[in-house]
Amino acid sequence: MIAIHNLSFSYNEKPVLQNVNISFEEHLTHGIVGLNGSGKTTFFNILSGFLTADEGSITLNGVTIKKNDIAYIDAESFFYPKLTALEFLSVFPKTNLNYNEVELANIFDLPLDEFIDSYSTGMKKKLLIISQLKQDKKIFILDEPFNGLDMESNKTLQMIIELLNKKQKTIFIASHIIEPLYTICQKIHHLKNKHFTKSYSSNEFNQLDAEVFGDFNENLKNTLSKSL
Amino acid sequence: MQLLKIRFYQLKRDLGILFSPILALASCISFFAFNHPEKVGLYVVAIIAYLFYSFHKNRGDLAFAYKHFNSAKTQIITEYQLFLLPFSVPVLFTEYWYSFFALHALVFLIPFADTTRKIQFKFLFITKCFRNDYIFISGIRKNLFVLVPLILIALALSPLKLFPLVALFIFNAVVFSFYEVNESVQMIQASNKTPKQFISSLLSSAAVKLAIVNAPVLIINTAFNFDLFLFNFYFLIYNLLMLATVIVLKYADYQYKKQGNSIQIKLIIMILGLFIPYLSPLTLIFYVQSRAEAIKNLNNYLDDRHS
Repeated sequence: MIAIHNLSFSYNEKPVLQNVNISFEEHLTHGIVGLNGSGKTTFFNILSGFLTADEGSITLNGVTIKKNDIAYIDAESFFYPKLTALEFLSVFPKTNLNYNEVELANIFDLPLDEFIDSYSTGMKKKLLIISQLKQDKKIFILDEPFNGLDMESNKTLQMIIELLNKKQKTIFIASHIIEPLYTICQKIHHLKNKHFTKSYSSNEFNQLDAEVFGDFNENLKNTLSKSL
Repeated sequence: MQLLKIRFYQLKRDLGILFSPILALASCISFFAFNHPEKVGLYVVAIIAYLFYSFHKNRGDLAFAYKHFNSAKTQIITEYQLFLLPFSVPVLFTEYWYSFFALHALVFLIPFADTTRKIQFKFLFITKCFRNDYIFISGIRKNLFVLVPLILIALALSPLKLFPLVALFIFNAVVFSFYEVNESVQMIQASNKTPKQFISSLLSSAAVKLAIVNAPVLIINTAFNFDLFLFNFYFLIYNLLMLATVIVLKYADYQYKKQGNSIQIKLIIMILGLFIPYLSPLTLIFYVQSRAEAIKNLNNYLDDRHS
Protein backbone atom coordinates (compact mmCIF):
# COMPACT_ATOMS: atom_id res chain seq x y z
CA MET A 1 0.00 0.00 0.00
CA ILE A 2 1.29 3.45 -0.92
CA ALA A 3 0.04 5.74 1.81
CA ILE A 4 0.00 9.52 1.48
CA HIS A 5 -0.49 11.18 4.82
CA ASN A 6 -1.28 14.91 5.33
CA LEU A 7 0.74 15.94 2.29
CA SER A 8 0.97 19.66 1.51
CA PHE A 9 3.05 21.54 -1.02
CA SER A 10 3.22 25.19 -2.09
CA TYR A 11 4.99 26.94 -4.96
CA ASN A 12 6.12 30.41 -3.84
CA GLU A 13 3.64 30.29 -0.95
CA LYS A 14 0.80 29.44 -3.32
CA PRO A 15 -0.65 26.12 -2.15
CA VAL A 16 -0.82 23.45 -4.85
CA LEU A 17 -1.60 20.44 -2.67
CA GLN A 18 -3.13 20.68 0.78
CA ASN A 19 -3.62 17.94 3.36
CA VAL A 20 -3.68 15.14 0.83
CA ASN A 21 -4.61 11.86 2.46
CA ILE A 22 -5.03 8.86 0.23
CA SER A 23 -3.91 5.25 -0.09
CA PHE A 24 -3.08 3.54 -3.37
CA GLU A 25 -3.25 -0.21 -3.56
CA GLU A 26 -0.13 -1.86 -4.91
CA HIS A 27 -0.07 -3.80 -8.21
CA LEU A 28 -2.91 -1.76 -9.70
CA THR A 29 -3.02 0.81 -12.45
CA HIS A 30 -4.14 4.16 -11.02
CA GLY A 31 -5.35 7.00 -13.18
CA ILE A 32 -5.02 10.54 -11.87
CA VAL A 33 -7.40 13.05 -13.44
CA GLY A 34 -7.97 16.72 -12.85
CA LEU A 35 -8.25 19.95 -14.76
CA ASN A 36 -5.19 21.88 -15.92
CA GLY A 37 -3.22 23.20 -12.96
CA SER A 38 -4.86 20.85 -10.48
CA GLY A 39 -1.45 19.61 -9.33
CA LYS A 40 -1.11 16.24 -11.08
CA THR A 41 2.49 16.76 -12.17
CA THR A 42 3.40 18.31 -8.82
CA PHE A 43 1.95 15.24 -7.11
CA PHE A 44 4.05 12.97 -9.34
CA ASN A 45 7.16 15.03 -8.69
CA ILE A 46 6.65 14.68 -4.95
CA LEU A 47 5.90 10.97 -5.29
CA SER A 48 9.17 10.58 -7.24
CA GLY A 49 11.10 12.57 -4.66
CA PHE A 50 12.12 15.37 -7.08
CA LEU A 51 10.18 17.84 -4.95
CA THR A 52 10.07 17.80 -1.19
CA ALA A 53 6.66 18.24 0.39
CA ASP A 54 6.26 21.07 2.90
CA GLU A 55 4.45 18.64 5.18
CA GLY A 56 3.34 15.04 5.25
CA SER A 57 4.74 11.69 4.25
CA ILE A 58 4.62 9.11 1.48
CA THR A 59 5.33 5.51 2.39
CA LEU A 60 5.30 2.15 0.68
CA ASN A 61 4.18 -0.48 3.19
CA GLY A 62 5.26 1.80 6.01
CA VAL A 63 8.69 2.56 4.58
CA THR A 64 9.80 5.68 2.68
CA ILE A 65 9.74 5.03 -1.06
CA LYS A 66 13.18 4.71 -2.64
CA LYS A 67 13.76 6.79 -5.74
CA ASN A 68 15.32 3.74 -7.30
CA ASP A 69 11.99 1.89 -7.13
CA ILE A 70 10.37 4.40 -9.47
CA ALA A 71 10.45 4.69 -13.24
CA TYR A 72 9.30 8.14 -14.29
CA ILE A 73 8.13 8.86 -17.81
CA ASP A 74 7.51 12.57 -17.78
CA ALA A 75 5.37 14.60 -20.14
CA GLU A 76 8.38 16.27 -21.73
CA SER A 77 11.87 15.04 -21.09
CA PHE A 78 15.12 16.23 -22.55
CA PHE A 79 18.06 14.30 -23.83
CA TYR A 80 21.79 14.74 -23.96
CA PRO A 81 22.91 16.20 -27.31
CA LYS A 82 24.98 14.28 -29.86
CA LEU A 83 24.09 10.86 -28.52
CA THR A 84 22.56 8.11 -30.60
CA ALA A 85 19.47 6.40 -29.19
CA LEU A 86 21.52 3.24 -28.70
CA GLU A 87 24.15 5.11 -26.67
CA PHE A 88 21.38 6.70 -24.61
CA LEU A 89 19.83 3.30 -23.88
CA SER A 90 23.22 1.84 -22.93
CA VAL A 91 23.32 4.25 -19.97
CA PHE A 92 20.47 2.36 -18.30
CA PRO A 93 21.20 -0.91 -16.52
CA LYS A 94 19.30 -3.92 -17.83
CA THR A 95 17.54 -5.21 -14.73
CA ASN A 96 14.44 -6.36 -16.61
CA LEU A 97 15.74 -9.69 -17.89
CA ASN A 98 13.02 -10.12 -20.55
CA TYR A 99 13.76 -6.73 -22.08
CA ASN A 100 14.56 -6.82 -25.77
CA GLU A 101 15.75 -3.45 -26.97
CA VAL A 102 15.74 -4.23 -30.68
CA GLU A 103 12.22 -5.71 -30.63
CA LEU A 104 10.83 -2.74 -28.73
CA ALA A 105 12.57 -0.29 -31.05
CA ASN A 106 11.09 -2.13 -34.04
CA ILE A 107 7.62 -2.06 -32.53
CA PHE A 108 7.90 1.68 -31.93
CA ASP A 109 9.65 2.18 -35.27
CA LEU A 110 12.70 3.89 -33.77
CA PRO A 111 16.04 4.06 -35.64
CA LEU A 112 18.40 3.39 -32.73
CA ASP A 113 21.59 4.36 -34.56
CA GLU A 114 20.33 7.90 -35.28
CA PHE A 115 21.15 10.94 -33.15
CA ILE A 116 18.35 11.69 -30.69
CA ASP A 117 18.62 15.36 -31.75
CA SER A 118 16.98 14.35 -35.05
CA TYR A 119 14.04 12.63 -33.30
CA SER A 120 10.56 14.13 -33.22
CA THR A 121 8.79 14.76 -29.89
CA GLY A 122 6.84 11.52 -30.22
CA MET A 123 9.98 9.51 -30.99
CA LYS A 124 11.73 10.99 -27.96
CA LYS A 125 8.80 9.97 -25.78
CA LYS A 126 8.92 6.42 -27.16
CA LEU A 127 12.67 6.29 -26.51
CA LEU A 128 12.16 7.38 -22.93
CA ILE A 129 9.48 4.69 -22.48
CA ILE A 130 11.86 2.02 -23.82
CA SER A 131 14.65 3.23 -21.52
CA GLN A 132 12.44 2.94 -18.47
CA LEU A 133 11.18 -0.52 -19.46
CA LYS A 134 14.80 -1.72 -19.42
CA GLN A 135 14.76 -1.48 -15.64
CA ASP A 136 12.81 -3.69 -13.30
CA LYS A 137 11.13 -1.01 -11.17
CA LYS A 138 8.27 -1.50 -8.74
CA ILE A 139 6.42 1.70 -9.57
CA PHE A 140 5.87 3.31 -12.99
CA ILE A 141 4.74 6.93 -13.20
CA LEU A 142 3.52 8.13 -16.57
CA ASP A 143 2.69 11.80 -16.92
CA GLU A 144 0.62 12.48 -20.04
CA PRO A 145 2.03 9.41 -21.78
CA PHE A 146 -0.35 9.56 -24.74
CA ASN A 147 0.55 13.13 -25.77
CA GLY A 148 2.53 13.33 -28.99
CA LEU A 149 2.19 9.65 -29.83
CA ASP A 150 0.63 8.40 -33.06
CA MET A 151 -2.38 6.06 -32.97
CA GLU A 152 -0.37 2.83 -33.26
CA SER A 153 2.07 3.89 -30.54
CA ASN A 154 -0.81 4.86 -28.27
CA LYS A 155 -2.27 1.39 -28.72
CA THR A 156 1.16 -0.18 -28.11
CA LEU A 157 1.62 1.87 -24.96
CA GLN A 158 -1.78 0.79 -23.65
CA MET A 159 -0.74 -2.84 -24.18
CA ILE A 160 2.59 -2.22 -22.43
CA ILE A 161 0.77 -0.73 -19.44
CA GLU A 162 -1.56 -3.75 -19.29
CA LEU A 163 1.46 -6.09 -19.41
CA LEU A 164 3.25 -4.15 -16.67
CA ASN A 165 0.11 -4.45 -14.58
CA LYS A 166 0.12 -8.22 -15.13
CA LYS A 167 3.73 -8.22 -13.92
CA GLN A 168 2.45 -6.81 -10.61
CA LYS A 169 3.79 -3.30 -11.13
CA THR A 170 2.06 -0.34 -9.53
CA ILE A 171 1.32 2.21 -12.23
CA PHE A 172 0.25 5.84 -12.02
CA ILE A 173 -1.00 7.63 -15.12
CA ALA A 174 -2.06 11.23 -15.49
CA SER A 175 -3.80 12.10 -18.70
CA HIS A 176 -5.79 14.93 -20.20
CA ILE A 177 -7.46 12.34 -22.36
CA ILE A 178 -9.66 10.35 -20.00
CA GLU A 179 -10.95 7.70 -22.41
CA PRO A 180 -7.86 5.41 -22.47
CA LEU A 181 -7.82 5.45 -18.68
CA TYR A 182 -11.24 3.75 -18.61
CA THR A 183 -9.80 0.68 -20.27
CA ILE A 184 -6.37 0.42 -18.64
CA CYS A 185 -6.94 1.66 -15.06
CA GLN A 186 -8.45 -0.27 -12.21
CA LYS A 187 -8.88 2.91 -10.18
CA ILE A 188 -9.14 6.56 -11.12
CA HIS A 189 -8.59 9.34 -8.59
CA HIS A 190 -9.91 12.85 -9.03
CA LEU A 191 -7.57 15.68 -8.00
CA LYS A 192 -9.47 18.90 -7.37
CA ASN A 193 -9.17 21.87 -5.03
CA LYS A 194 -5.66 20.83 -3.97
CA HIS A 195 -6.55 17.33 -2.82
CA PHE A 196 -8.04 14.05 -4.02
CA THR A 197 -11.80 14.46 -3.81
CA LYS A 198 -12.83 10.95 -4.78
CA SER A 199 -11.52 7.60 -5.98
CA TYR A 200 -13.50 5.61 -8.51
CA SER A 201 -13.44 1.87 -9.09
CA SER A 202 -13.99 0.57 -12.61
CA ASN A 203 -17.75 0.10 -12.09
CA GLU A 204 -18.02 3.82 -11.18
CA PHE A 205 -16.08 5.23 -14.13
CA ASN A 206 -19.34 6.28 -15.85
CA GLN A 207 -19.81 8.98 -13.18
CA LEU A 208 -16.35 10.43 -13.77
CA ASP A 209 -16.99 12.65 -16.75
CA ALA A 210 -19.89 14.45 -15.10
CA GLU A 211 -17.97 14.93 -11.85
CA VAL A 212 -14.66 16.03 -13.37
CA PHE A 213 -16.10 18.32 -16.00
CA GLY A 214 -19.45 19.15 -14.34
CA ASP A 215 -18.64 22.64 -13.00
CA PHE A 216 -16.32 23.35 -15.90
CA ASN A 217 -19.00 22.49 -18.50
CA GLU A 218 -21.66 24.55 -16.74
CA ASN A 219 -19.43 27.64 -16.36
CA LEU A 220 -18.16 27.37 -19.90
CA LYS A 221 -21.67 27.03 -21.31
CA ASN A 222 -22.78 30.17 -19.41
CA THR A 223 -19.74 32.21 -20.43
CA LEU A 224 -19.92 31.13 -24.06
CA SER A 225 -23.63 31.84 -24.35
CA LYS A 226 -22.96 35.39 -23.12
CA SER A 227 -19.95 35.89 -25.39
CA LEU A 228 -21.15 34.47 -28.70
CA MET B 1 15.57 47.17 -30.15
CA GLN B 2 13.35 44.47 -28.61
CA LEU B 3 16.31 42.28 -27.74
CA LEU B 4 17.98 44.99 -25.64
CA LYS B 5 14.68 45.68 -23.94
CA ILE B 6 14.41 41.99 -23.00
CA ARG B 7 18.00 41.95 -21.75
CA PHE B 8 17.30 45.08 -19.71
CA TYR B 9 14.33 43.41 -18.00
CA GLN B 10 16.36 40.22 -17.43
CA LEU B 11 19.27 42.11 -15.89
CA LYS B 12 16.92 44.19 -13.76
CA ARG B 13 15.17 41.05 -12.53
CA ASP B 14 18.24 38.81 -12.05
CA LEU B 15 20.90 41.24 -10.86
CA GLY B 16 18.95 44.23 -9.49
CA ILE B 17 21.25 46.52 -7.51
CA LEU B 18 24.16 44.15 -8.12
CA PHE B 19 24.25 45.24 -11.77
CA SER B 20 26.64 48.19 -11.28
CA PRO B 21 29.07 46.39 -8.91
CA ILE B 22 29.25 43.41 -11.30
CA LEU B 23 29.88 45.76 -14.21
CA ALA B 24 32.67 47.46 -12.24
CA LEU B 25 34.13 44.09 -11.22
CA ALA B 26 34.18 42.91 -14.86
CA SER B 27 35.99 46.10 -15.87
CA CYS B 28 38.52 45.73 -13.02
CA ILE B 29 39.22 42.10 -13.86
CA SER B 30 39.67 42.98 -17.52
CA PHE B 31 42.01 45.87 -16.63
CA PHE B 32 44.16 43.70 -14.36
CA ALA B 33 44.26 40.80 -16.83
CA PHE B 34 45.52 43.11 -19.58
CA ASN B 35 48.04 44.68 -17.18
CA HIS B 36 49.38 41.30 -16.08
CA PRO B 37 53.20 41.24 -15.90
CA GLU B 38 53.25 37.98 -17.91
CA LYS B 39 51.94 39.89 -20.98
CA VAL B 40 48.96 37.63 -21.56
CA GLY B 41 46.76 40.34 -23.09
CA LEU B 42 46.35 38.65 -26.46
CA TYR B 43 45.30 35.38 -24.84
CA VAL B 44 42.72 37.31 -22.82
CA VAL B 45 41.37 38.71 -26.11
CA ALA B 46 41.03 35.14 -27.39
CA ILE B 47 39.35 33.98 -24.18
CA ILE B 48 36.83 36.85 -24.15
CA ALA B 49 36.02 36.34 -27.84
CA TYR B 50 35.63 32.60 -27.22
CA LEU B 51 33.25 33.20 -24.31
CA PHE B 52 31.06 35.42 -26.51
CA TYR B 53 31.16 32.82 -29.28
CA SER B 54 30.27 30.07 -26.82
CA PHE B 55 27.34 32.13 -25.56
CA HIS B 56 26.16 32.78 -29.11
CA LYS B 57 26.47 29.13 -30.08
CA ASN B 58 24.51 27.91 -27.09
CA ARG B 59 21.82 30.58 -26.80
CA GLY B 60 18.36 29.16 -27.30
CA ASP B 61 16.56 32.28 -28.51
CA LEU B 62 18.23 32.79 -31.89
CA ALA B 63 15.48 31.14 -33.92
CA PHE B 64 12.87 33.15 -32.00
CA ALA B 65 14.78 36.40 -32.52
CA TYR B 66 15.24 35.84 -36.26
CA LYS B 67 11.57 34.92 -36.64
CA HIS B 68 9.96 37.70 -34.63
CA PHE B 69 12.35 40.66 -34.43
CA ASN B 70 13.04 43.19 -37.15
CA SER B 71 16.73 43.33 -38.16
CA ALA B 72 17.54 40.58 -35.68
CA LYS B 73 21.18 40.36 -36.71
CA THR B 74 21.71 44.09 -36.13
CA GLN B 75 20.08 43.75 -32.73
CA ILE B 76 22.33 40.82 -31.81
CA ILE B 77 25.44 42.68 -33.00
CA THR B 78 24.44 45.73 -30.95
CA GLU B 79 23.75 43.56 -27.93
CA TYR B 80 27.21 41.93 -28.07
CA GLN B 81 29.00 45.22 -28.72
CA LEU B 82 27.30 46.79 -25.69
CA PHE B 83 27.98 43.84 -23.42
CA LEU B 84 31.60 43.84 -24.53
CA LEU B 85 32.15 47.44 -23.42
CA PRO B 86 32.78 46.70 -19.70
CA PHE B 87 35.60 44.37 -20.79
CA SER B 88 36.95 46.39 -23.70
CA VAL B 89 36.92 49.99 -22.39
CA PRO B 90 39.49 49.31 -19.60
CA VAL B 91 41.82 47.89 -22.27
CA LEU B 92 42.17 51.39 -23.70
CA PHE B 93 44.10 52.35 -20.55
CA THR B 94 46.64 49.56 -20.93
CA GLU B 95 49.50 48.91 -23.33
CA TYR B 96 47.15 46.59 -25.22
CA TRP B 97 44.90 49.52 -26.21
CA TYR B 98 44.70 48.20 -29.78
CA SER B 99 43.01 45.05 -28.41
CA PHE B 100 39.90 47.19 -27.94
CA PHE B 101 39.45 47.21 -31.71
CA ALA B 102 40.45 43.57 -32.08
CA LEU B 103 37.88 42.53 -29.46
CA HIS B 104 35.07 44.52 -31.05
CA ALA B 105 35.98 43.28 -34.52
CA LEU B 106 36.07 39.63 -33.41
CA VAL B 107 32.80 39.88 -31.49
CA PHE B 108 31.21 41.75 -34.43
CA LEU B 109 31.85 38.69 -36.61
CA ILE B 110 30.25 36.20 -34.21
CA PRO B 111 26.60 36.67 -35.32
CA PHE B 112 27.73 35.94 -38.89
CA ALA B 113 29.11 32.52 -37.92
CA ASP B 114 26.89 29.64 -38.92
CA THR B 115 26.26 27.90 -35.62
CA THR B 116 23.23 25.97 -36.85
CA ARG B 117 25.11 23.61 -39.16
CA LYS B 118 24.78 20.12 -37.77
CA ILE B 119 27.74 17.80 -38.12
CA GLN B 120 26.29 14.33 -38.38
CA PHE B 121 29.52 12.35 -38.02
CA LYS B 122 29.08 9.70 -35.38
CA PHE B 123 32.74 8.73 -34.89
CA LEU B 124 31.76 5.45 -33.31
CA PHE B 125 35.30 4.91 -31.99
CA ILE B 126 34.38 7.53 -29.37
CA THR B 127 31.60 5.25 -28.09
CA LYS B 128 34.11 2.42 -27.76
CA CYS B 129 36.71 4.58 -26.00
CA PHE B 130 34.31 6.13 -23.49
CA ARG B 131 31.84 3.33 -22.75
CA ASN B 132 28.69 4.69 -21.08
CA ASP B 133 30.39 8.01 -20.28
CA TYR B 134 27.72 9.96 -22.11
CA ILE B 135 29.20 13.32 -21.08
CA PHE B 136 32.50 12.61 -22.82
CA ILE B 137 30.91 10.80 -25.78
CA SER B 138 28.64 13.76 -26.45
CA GLY B 139 31.25 16.42 -25.65
CA ILE B 140 34.04 14.93 -27.75
CA ARG B 141 31.70 14.24 -30.66
CA LYS B 142 30.50 17.83 -30.53
CA ASN B 143 34.00 19.35 -30.30
CA LEU B 144 36.23 16.82 -32.06
CA PHE B 145 37.29 19.26 -34.76
CA VAL B 146 38.47 21.73 -32.12
CA LEU B 147 39.97 19.25 -29.66
CA VAL B 148 42.16 17.29 -32.08
CA PRO B 149 43.99 20.32 -33.58
CA LEU B 150 44.44 21.82 -30.12
CA ILE B 151 46.07 18.74 -28.64
CA LEU B 152 48.23 18.31 -31.75
CA ILE B 153 49.38 21.94 -31.51
CA ALA B 154 50.07 21.49 -27.79
CA LEU B 155 52.12 18.35 -28.48
CA ALA B 156 54.00 19.93 -31.37
CA LEU B 157 54.86 23.02 -29.32
CA SER B 158 55.49 21.10 -26.11
CA PRO B 159 59.27 21.74 -25.98
CA LEU B 160 58.65 25.51 -26.06
CA LYS B 161 57.83 27.74 -23.10
CA LEU B 162 54.25 28.91 -22.47
CA PHE B 163 52.82 28.31 -26.00
CA PRO B 164 51.88 24.64 -25.50
CA LEU B 165 50.18 25.54 -22.24
CA VAL B 166 47.95 28.07 -23.99
CA ALA B 167 46.78 25.41 -26.47
CA LEU B 168 46.42 22.89 -23.66
CA PHE B 169 44.45 25.35 -21.57
CA ILE B 170 42.01 26.06 -24.41
CA PHE B 171 41.70 22.28 -24.87
CA ASN B 172 40.84 21.92 -21.19
CA ALA B 173 38.38 24.82 -21.39
CA VAL B 174 36.54 22.96 -24.17
CA VAL B 175 36.40 19.88 -21.94
CA PHE B 176 34.94 22.03 -19.13
CA SER B 177 32.19 23.08 -21.54
CA PHE B 178 31.03 19.43 -21.67
CA TYR B 179 29.41 20.15 -18.31
CA GLU B 180 27.28 23.04 -19.56
CA VAL B 181 24.49 20.67 -20.59
CA ASN B 182 22.15 18.99 -18.15
CA GLU B 183 21.12 15.38 -18.57
CA SER B 184 17.63 14.13 -17.81
CA VAL B 185 16.91 12.94 -14.31
CA GLN B 186 16.42 9.41 -15.62
CA MET B 187 20.04 9.36 -16.81
CA ILE B 188 21.27 10.44 -13.40
CA GLN B 189 19.16 7.80 -11.71
CA ALA B 190 20.45 5.12 -14.08
CA SER B 191 23.79 5.34 -12.28
CA ASN B 192 22.19 3.64 -9.27
CA LYS B 193 24.64 5.45 -6.99
CA THR B 194 24.29 7.57 -3.89
CA PRO B 195 24.91 11.33 -4.43
CA LYS B 196 28.39 11.07 -2.91
CA GLN B 197 29.28 8.06 -5.05
CA PHE B 198 27.85 9.75 -8.14
CA ILE B 199 29.94 12.89 -7.67
CA SER B 200 33.07 10.95 -6.71
CA SER B 201 32.87 8.64 -9.71
CA LEU B 202 32.29 11.57 -12.09
CA LEU B 203 35.21 13.50 -10.59
CA SER B 204 37.65 10.62 -10.66
CA SER B 205 36.71 9.46 -14.14
CA ALA B 206 36.94 12.98 -15.63
CA ALA B 207 40.15 13.82 -13.76
CA VAL B 208 41.88 10.66 -14.98
CA LYS B 209 40.91 11.45 -18.58
CA LEU B 210 42.10 15.06 -18.36
CA ALA B 211 45.34 14.08 -16.65
CA ILE B 212 46.09 11.44 -19.29
CA VAL B 213 45.73 14.03 -22.07
CA ASN B 214 47.63 16.79 -20.22
CA ALA B 215 50.48 14.63 -18.95
CA PRO B 216 52.46 14.06 -22.20
CA VAL B 217 52.52 17.78 -23.06
CA LEU B 218 53.50 18.77 -19.52
CA ILE B 219 56.15 16.05 -19.20
CA ILE B 220 57.82 17.00 -22.49
CA ASN B 221 57.56 20.70 -21.59
CA THR B 222 59.17 20.08 -18.19
CA ALA B 223 61.92 17.94 -19.72
CA PHE B 224 62.90 20.79 -22.04
CA ASN B 225 62.28 23.59 -19.52
CA PHE B 226 63.00 22.25 -16.07
CA ASP B 227 62.66 25.74 -14.55
CA LEU B 228 58.93 25.44 -15.36
CA PHE B 229 58.49 22.25 -13.33
CA LEU B 230 56.62 23.98 -10.51
CA PHE B 231 54.49 26.07 -12.84
CA ASN B 232 53.56 23.00 -14.94
CA PHE B 233 52.68 21.12 -11.77
CA TYR B 234 50.53 24.06 -10.65
CA PHE B 235 48.96 24.18 -14.14
CA LEU B 236 47.92 20.51 -13.95
CA ILE B 237 46.59 20.74 -10.40
CA TYR B 238 44.73 23.98 -11.12
CA ASN B 239 43.14 22.54 -14.26
CA LEU B 240 42.03 19.43 -12.39
CA LEU B 241 40.61 21.67 -9.67
CA MET B 242 38.77 23.72 -12.31
CA LEU B 243 37.35 20.56 -13.85
CA ALA B 244 36.19 19.32 -10.46
CA THR B 245 34.66 22.72 -9.70
CA VAL B 246 32.82 22.85 -13.02
CA ILE B 247 31.36 19.39 -12.30
CA VAL B 248 30.18 20.19 -8.78
CA LEU B 249 28.85 23.59 -9.89
CA LYS B 250 26.74 21.83 -12.50
CA TYR B 251 25.15 19.46 -10.01
CA ALA B 252 24.79 22.12 -7.31
CA ASP B 253 22.65 24.03 -9.80
CA TYR B 254 20.98 21.00 -11.42
CA GLN B 255 17.22 21.09 -11.47
CA TYR B 256 14.80 18.58 -12.86
CA LYS B 257 13.65 19.87 -16.27
CA LYS B 258 16.03 22.83 -16.25
CA GLN B 259 18.20 22.81 -19.34
CA GLY B 260 21.72 24.21 -19.05
CA ASN B 261 23.27 25.92 -16.09
CA SER B 262 24.57 29.37 -15.33
CA ILE B 263 28.18 29.07 -14.27
CA GLN B 264 29.60 31.56 -16.77
CA ILE B 265 30.64 34.22 -14.24
CA LYS B 266 32.32 31.72 -11.92
CA LEU B 267 34.00 30.12 -14.93
CA ILE B 268 35.47 33.48 -15.98
CA ILE B 269 36.81 34.02 -12.45
CA MET B 270 38.31 30.52 -12.43
CA ILE B 271 39.97 31.02 -15.84
CA LEU B 272 41.43 34.33 -14.68
CA GLY B 273 42.69 32.54 -11.56
CA LEU B 274 45.25 30.76 -13.71
CA PHE B 275 46.78 34.09 -14.77
CA ILE B 276 46.09 36.12 -11.64
CA PRO B 277 47.24 33.91 -8.73
CA TYR B 278 45.39 35.82 -6.01
CA LEU B 279 42.10 34.83 -7.69
CA SER B 280 42.98 31.13 -7.66
CA PRO B 281 41.88 30.44 -4.04
CA LEU B 282 38.39 31.43 -5.17
CA THR B 283 38.29 28.29 -7.31
CA LEU B 284 39.03 26.16 -4.27
CA ILE B 285 36.34 27.99 -2.31
CA PHE B 286 33.85 27.46 -5.17
CA TYR B 287 34.75 23.76 -5.19
CA VAL B 288 34.36 23.16 -1.46
CA GLN B 289 31.12 25.13 -1.29
CA SER B 290 29.57 23.66 -4.43
CA ARG B 291 30.52 20.06 -3.67
CA ALA B 292 28.44 20.15 -0.50
CA GLU B 293 25.61 21.87 -2.39
CA ALA B 294 25.80 19.33 -5.24
CA ILE B 295 25.52 16.37 -2.87
CA LYS B 296 22.61 18.02 -1.09
CA ASN B 297 20.89 18.83 -4.38
CA LEU B 298 21.40 15.33 -5.78
CA ASN B 299 19.60 13.93 -2.75
CA ASN B 300 16.44 15.05 -4.55
CA TYR B 301 17.18 12.71 -7.43
CA LEU B 302 19.21 9.83 -5.99
CA ASP B 303 18.72 7.63 -2.94
CA ASP B 304 21.18 8.63 -0.25
CA ARG B 305 21.82 5.04 0.72
CA HIS B 306 21.52 1.62 -0.84
CA SER B 307 19.22 -1.00 0.66
